[in-house]
Amino acid sequence: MVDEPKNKMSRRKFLHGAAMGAATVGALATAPNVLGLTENASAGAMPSDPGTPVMAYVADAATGTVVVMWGTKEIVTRDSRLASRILGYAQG
Amino acid sequence: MSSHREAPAISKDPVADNTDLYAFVDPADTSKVTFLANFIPLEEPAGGPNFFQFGDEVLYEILIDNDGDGEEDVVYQFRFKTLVQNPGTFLYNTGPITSLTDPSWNVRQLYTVTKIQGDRDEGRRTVLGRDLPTPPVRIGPRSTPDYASLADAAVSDLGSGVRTFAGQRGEGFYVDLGSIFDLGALRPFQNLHLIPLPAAPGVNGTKGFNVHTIAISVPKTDVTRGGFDPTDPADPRSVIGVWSAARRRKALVREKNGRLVETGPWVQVSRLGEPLINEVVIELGEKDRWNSRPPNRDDRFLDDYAHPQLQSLLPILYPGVFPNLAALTASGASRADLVAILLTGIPAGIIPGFQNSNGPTPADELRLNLAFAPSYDATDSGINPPGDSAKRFGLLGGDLDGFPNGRRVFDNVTAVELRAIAGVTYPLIDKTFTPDAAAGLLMDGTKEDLPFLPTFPYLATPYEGFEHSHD
Repeated sequence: MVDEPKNKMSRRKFLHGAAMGAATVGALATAPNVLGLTENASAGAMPSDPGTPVMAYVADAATGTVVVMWGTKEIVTRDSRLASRILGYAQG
Repeated sequence: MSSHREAPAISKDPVADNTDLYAFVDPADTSKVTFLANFIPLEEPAGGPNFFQFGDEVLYEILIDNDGDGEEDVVYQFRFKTLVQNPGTFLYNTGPITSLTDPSWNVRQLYTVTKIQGDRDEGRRTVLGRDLPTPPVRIGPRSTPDYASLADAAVSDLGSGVRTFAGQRGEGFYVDLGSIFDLGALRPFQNLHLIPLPAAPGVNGTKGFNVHTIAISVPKTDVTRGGFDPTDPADPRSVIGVWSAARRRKALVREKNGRLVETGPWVQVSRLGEPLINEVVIELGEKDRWNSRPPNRDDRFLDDYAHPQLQSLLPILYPGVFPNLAALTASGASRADLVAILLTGIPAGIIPGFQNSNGPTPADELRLNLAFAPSYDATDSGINPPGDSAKRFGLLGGDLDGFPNGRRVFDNVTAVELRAIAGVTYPLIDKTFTPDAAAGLLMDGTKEDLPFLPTFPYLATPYEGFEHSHD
């Protein structure tokens, strides 16, 4: 029996897609910019599943780098507005 | 120890601590190769009521590189899940456990084995077996009266020549911990130590302790490049490189109600190829990093292998005993012999009729040339050679199928590596070098205390909690 990865998107494909997207929206300085995706195909948990915990942390406040994880996936994004909002909660 | 508690971070996470790795052509069926990877160091057999078990949140892996690039080509992953039959009791079992389905056995673990061809995360996945049974731990004459039968029943035949086992085993790695970690003393030679004591027999520091083993036996052609049938020792396709690893999820959140939430990618926390490397070759400040990395990036650690600190310490700890080694070390010579043995495999033309190199990439893998048939029988006497038998010394003892060509359960890897670092193998690359007379005699004077088994999974029946001794 062969179990194919449930998520067909490979890291290479995603990075290629992210690069294309960045070229399109590059003029929008505040738009989130996905820097990379790490995924383990074995989990198959999708962020649309309401039972799947999603975690995020600000990895670098100066650059607005936020890491978002769900299932066995991880996205590193540069989103200054999101980072600022999270930091705002942390500062009370 | 071989790789028990060998790095600061993993010493605090025993469930994921990979302690030993064995890879050898199966003596009972030479068309197959057997891999054994041990975890959880120094299990006290009486450690109830929550006895030792695999981690449900740990991804255990055995990885094989069959083209010499230091990257995995075939992976076997083991995942566990714990079932508690009756959460209303504190007991592991409520009566004698006489079968793997005995209702009195309260805390059980099942496991799933998945084969991946290619990258461990993105390769083609095939589930080989799902919800396979593990045996209970060995408690005592009342709880586990016929333990060998329980363990035998937990050997799973998955078809296509694949067998697996996962469960507790008696520790098979033997070493004089108490003496070696007391300023590098070897009891048989401690009269020559810088701080001398009368020479004495070795004391096996792992006696009376258990480990948890994942074991798999597969046709050789399942793991070779393109399904190559390895019958020619000279063919590079006969060589595989093996390592094992444990990974955990990147993020862990502890909620107030005791619930743990884990998410994110798998992150490697432990790995093991050649024995004793992260123990005594890699510097303390690099050990955690070494555990986290794949073998194909081991060039970063090349200097640790080429100039191991232990070769400098031996002449200091044993004054006047290793003058030739001291001169070699003082010359600053690179130990290309150790680099070959531990990082690239021994190329053809060095030892007549032998090679176990799968390429020039420096990668800490347990390299095994599958074309060399076992030099011992699958019998009690065959797999338990006398403690002073040359067979214990693998390739140094003349066994082409022995460590560092793979690793058999009885191989004295401590003595082989001590002798190699002391200079015994340096003439392989410089015939003008004469090893010190003591170098070829080094050993700690220990052997295993429980007999290895002549059948899969070969490692010994565990010590029982009720009656065991560490003396």
